[in-house]
Amino acid sequence: MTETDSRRGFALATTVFVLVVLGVLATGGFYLARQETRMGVASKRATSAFYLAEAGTNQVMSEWDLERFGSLSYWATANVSDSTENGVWSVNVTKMTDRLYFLGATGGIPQGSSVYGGTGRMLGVVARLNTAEISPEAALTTRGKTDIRGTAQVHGEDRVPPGWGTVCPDQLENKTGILTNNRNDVKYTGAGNVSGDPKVSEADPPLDDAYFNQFGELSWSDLTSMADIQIPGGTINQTMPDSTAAGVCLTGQGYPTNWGNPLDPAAACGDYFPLIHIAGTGLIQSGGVGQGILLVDGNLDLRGNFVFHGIIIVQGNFETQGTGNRIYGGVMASNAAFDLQKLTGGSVVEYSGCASSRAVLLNRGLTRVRPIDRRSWVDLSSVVGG
Amino acid sequence: MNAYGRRGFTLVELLVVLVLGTVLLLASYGILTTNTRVYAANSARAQGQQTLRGGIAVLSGELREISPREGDLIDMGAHSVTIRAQRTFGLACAVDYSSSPVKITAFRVGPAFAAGDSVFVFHDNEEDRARDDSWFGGVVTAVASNTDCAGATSQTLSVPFVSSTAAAVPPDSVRIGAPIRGFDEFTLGQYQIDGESYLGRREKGETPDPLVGPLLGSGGVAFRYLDNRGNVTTVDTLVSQIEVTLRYLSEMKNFQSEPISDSVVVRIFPRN
Repeated sequence: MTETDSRRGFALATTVFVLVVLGVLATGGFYLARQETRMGVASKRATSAFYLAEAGTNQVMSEWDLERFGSLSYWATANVSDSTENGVWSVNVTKMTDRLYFLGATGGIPQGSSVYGGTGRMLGVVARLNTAEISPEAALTTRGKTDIRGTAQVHGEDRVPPGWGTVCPDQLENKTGILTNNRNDVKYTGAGNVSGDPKVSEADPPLDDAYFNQFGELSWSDLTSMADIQIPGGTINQTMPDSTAAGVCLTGQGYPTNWGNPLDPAAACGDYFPLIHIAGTGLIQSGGVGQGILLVDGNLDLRGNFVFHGIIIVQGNFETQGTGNRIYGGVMASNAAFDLQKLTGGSVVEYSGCASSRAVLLNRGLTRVRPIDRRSWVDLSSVVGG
Repeated sequence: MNAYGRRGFTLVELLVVLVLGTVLLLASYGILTTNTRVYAANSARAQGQQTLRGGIAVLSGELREISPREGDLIDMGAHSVTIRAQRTFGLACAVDYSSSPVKITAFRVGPAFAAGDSVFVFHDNEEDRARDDSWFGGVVTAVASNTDCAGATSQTLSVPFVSSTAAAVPPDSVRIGAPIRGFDEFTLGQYQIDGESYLGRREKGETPDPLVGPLLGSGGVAFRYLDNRGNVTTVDTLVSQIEVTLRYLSEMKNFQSEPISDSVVVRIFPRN
């Protein structure tokens, strides 16, 4: 043994021991901090995903696509999605009925790194379309003396307008032909024909001014002020759908004779259902087509070959002449002055629940989507996992 | 080399080494114990925060979904709350009013419905009116699993409806698309379990199940019920936010020899 070898000490061992202990503690501390950070970040990401999903449902409802979602068949689904700097959301809109929809939303935070995996939360909202309460109870609802002359016809049997088979439900609900205050006020001359369930019925309570002026929470002035098209009154000729070569429907006040296309729901203006206000007496002649809701401050006179699908509300009287007038939906004529009204010629007024309903549901001004009152919101992550 | 040639440490050297070694050891021990205490304190603090976070997540999930206006807040205590909480969810794809009780076939979104489940069913009444919409309660008397909802997983539920008011349940008022919600009634609150305080859940007549904890022994869970103006209310149907306070107290002590504690206050807004 050399002299040097014989020296013994414990400083090195002590230092190594202390370093090992400190190393273990430091590693444990780092591990603890890392775990805590991961839990905190995971919690934050889950919370963000939840609010992204909620933001998705709110955005879809605030920017409700009436045409797209309204044209879905029952239980069919359309998807809307968007991304933000924080993550993505995706909402499946399922149409359950014409008015009830289920919005299933997913909020997602993409995978950030190998440490932070993707996170998703799901929630649902049952929403309904709230509309103005405009729902004709008969093919023709009116007051005062009404003559059905010539070959004019009024039918309360629920009909699907020609070409609308794909957009109307199968269920039909027949209504009365003419709803009025006194059945003796309805006269028939010549081959004038009225049918329905029943043919003519008396309103109970009787029809009054309010019946033709107040529609749920909307008054007549509310409705007319919301009109897409304002017309001063007078003679109106040749209302026809108008669209660009690219198939974009030209809508609104700039195109006052475009009242939509009732003949082809799949056409460019097939889903355009304007609210039209005639601020006076209207005389529609020389043919034309239209759909939506037609509001007339004064009298309305149809002079032939006018096809309209939807609801016509007239504060004055309602008269027809000539041939080819055909209304699918419902006509409500207040006839406040109790004038004698004459439906003559070959005019046909047929009740259509589908045409009436679509006229309201597909008008942006009259329809708002809202979560159903109470219990609309469901946290799907809690019931289906996620 | 002979024995006299070997050299050793002098007494002075030994004393110096011993003193220096002792100082080093004492310093190391100090660092070691300090680090150990810091580590333990941080562990306790992290555990406490995790406990609070978990508790808030549980309470948020349950309380967000209740409908105070529909009577889901059954009991509003300072340290507990009894609620009707959703357990499953479905959407009606067919309604058979010709049978008694009414049979509703539902596309199932959540866990399966079972006979004996309490449910709420949406009554649309007139389809074009929102003002007449309502919910009626009932207890499922029979269940049949099928794929009648367009081939999807579905169940047909027999549900005699129960009106919560004197008004009769209108016939033909449940329509396709109606949501159906299965619910349970239970209490969320502070419970002593195995000598420690926990946020727990207790179903009627059952012993409580611990959810998260342990928490501060007294006042570890506290609720306040606020209306839409943020004022405290005792009227269940006026509650629009529930303030939850969770407090955590560890057996560990910090450098001031005080127990490590933490707390969180959250206001939860029921969505329904």
